[in-house]
Amino acid sequence: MNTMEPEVLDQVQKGNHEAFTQLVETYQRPVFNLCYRMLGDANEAEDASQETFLRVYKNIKNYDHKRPFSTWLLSIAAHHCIDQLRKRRMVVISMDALPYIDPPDNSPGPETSFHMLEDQRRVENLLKSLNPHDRAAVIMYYWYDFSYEEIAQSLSITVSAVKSRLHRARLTLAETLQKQAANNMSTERKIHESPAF
Amino acid sequence: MNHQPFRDWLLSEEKLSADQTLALQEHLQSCEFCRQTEISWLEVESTFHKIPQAQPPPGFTNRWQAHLSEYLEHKRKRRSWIIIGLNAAIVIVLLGLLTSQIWSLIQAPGPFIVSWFTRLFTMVTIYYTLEDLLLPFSWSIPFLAYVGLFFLVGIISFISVLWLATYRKLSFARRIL
Repeated sequence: MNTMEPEVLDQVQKGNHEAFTQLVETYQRPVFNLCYRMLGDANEAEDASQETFLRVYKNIKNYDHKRPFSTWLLSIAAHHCIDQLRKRRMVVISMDALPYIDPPDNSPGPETSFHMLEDQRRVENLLKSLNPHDRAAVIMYYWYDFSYEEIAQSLSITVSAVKSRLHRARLTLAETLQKQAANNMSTERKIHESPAF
Repeated sequence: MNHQPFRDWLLSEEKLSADQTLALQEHLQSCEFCRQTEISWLEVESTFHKIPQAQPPPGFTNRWQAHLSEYLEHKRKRRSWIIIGLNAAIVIVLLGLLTSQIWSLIQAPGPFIVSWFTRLFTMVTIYYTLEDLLLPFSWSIPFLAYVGLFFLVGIISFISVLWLATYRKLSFARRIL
């Protein structure tokens, strides 16, 4: 993940707007990615990212330089997303609202794009099977390479709680994938079966 | 069959001992359930690694700046309204008091002036009475009692501030770490 120069952070803490814009430029992608993985909707992820930066703007004076800035920033984003998920329990997410995905280095053919989109949807469905805290832990561990300690600090839980959450999440994810595969197989079977008269 | 330790080992990131690895391999050869769990988890992990970071639509920073301007404008307006509201409240209270006094003055100027002089006289009398009462009494209290009183007030104030600070910290949104 990109990091910020301490001088820029100092400027941000002094209320320099240009420095804050630079901060937004630097961290917009990791913040958006976290929000998107948490919420599963591009529009909501955009709103959550904007809200995260606004919270950072309001509370930048509370930031402690001893702590990595990215951990602090992503913990704000994660907590905001957890709150959003708790609030919206009953709202159905549109699967069509997908974000911009970076093309791979070698030119992407339609097949590559299709597979990427498929993987994207599969990951979304898998993540949805987790509760908000477990989801946040998984995202931080697999997309941001956060250590157990960093995840614990970000989610205000203990290291052993992080380990047990990750373990539980892995099991849920594996079981969800198995269920999805079983469902797909039964759907395909139904399609290829001859109709009964 | 007991799958528990094997499933834990499959999903754990901790390094297994040679014996544990051997036991796991043996179990996987005979247990379809755990083998499926392993295959599924490996597939999930590989899908996670394949997915790139999602990025926001272009113009995120511009939208952020607009969002910030909107917030600052809202904050400025709210502050202005609070100041206007407070000033208006003070003016209304003062006007109310003044109107009642002027109304009394218009209704009966003589008794009004007399009543004000009476009040002033009463206040001066109370002041002198208190002075007469407390001054000799204050000389009889030893100096240490004053120091004790000073410390007592200090401690009470400190505890009050501490209580307020703790209350604020506890009742604050704990999301901003």
